[in-house]
Amino acid sequence: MDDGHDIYRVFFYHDAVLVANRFQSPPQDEFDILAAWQTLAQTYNLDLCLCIASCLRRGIVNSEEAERFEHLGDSLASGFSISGLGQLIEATLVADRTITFGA
Amino acid sequence: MRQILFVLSHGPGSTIAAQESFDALLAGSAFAEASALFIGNGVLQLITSDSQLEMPPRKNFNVAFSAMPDFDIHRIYCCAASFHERGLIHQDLCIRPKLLQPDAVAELWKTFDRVLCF
Repeated sequence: MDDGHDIYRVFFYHDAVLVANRFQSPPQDEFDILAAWQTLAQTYNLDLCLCIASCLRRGIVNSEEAERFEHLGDSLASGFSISGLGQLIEATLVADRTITFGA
Repeated sequence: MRQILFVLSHGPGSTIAAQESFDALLAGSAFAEASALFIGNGVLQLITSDSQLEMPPRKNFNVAFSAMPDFDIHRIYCCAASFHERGLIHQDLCIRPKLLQPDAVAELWKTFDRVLCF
């Protein structure tokens, strides 16, 4: 980012959606990956987007989905949004580079 | 229309990753000209359901592979080295992908506008 690149979107798929589980409480001497993403997103105004099918399988729900599936509450951390695979494909087509991590 | 190559490298069974990757391929076919490359343990996804044990709670999602042409996914490739390393024969497969030698796989990547690895 400091070199002048723009990040169009960060898309979380597969197990990566678990990053957005707001109930995680890592031990104090371990890296807090959720807090790190939230700080990064705030600093650079990033669009952090999660795949809804991956989320529902793994118990990551926003308030609307929690209501739809009659869960007691939502589990989605702030700073993230839940959307569909179309967002991944659209971003791939719009951006001049697509970088995949941990496939 | 942009051309996207979906590289599918997860084995079937132990995790949901292979099935989710196939979902991404189908989603991609709605927005672009999508093609598939099965490589590494991903080639094991191609084994016909008849010769695979059904392992609950996973379902044999590869019964949908034969529907790929209906989603305008016509170019389906398989890494020949991955295929032979795992002792597969054509009779094991549920579809007929085009087998590519490793040097042809390397060339294949260059012909696509975008490559998405799963």
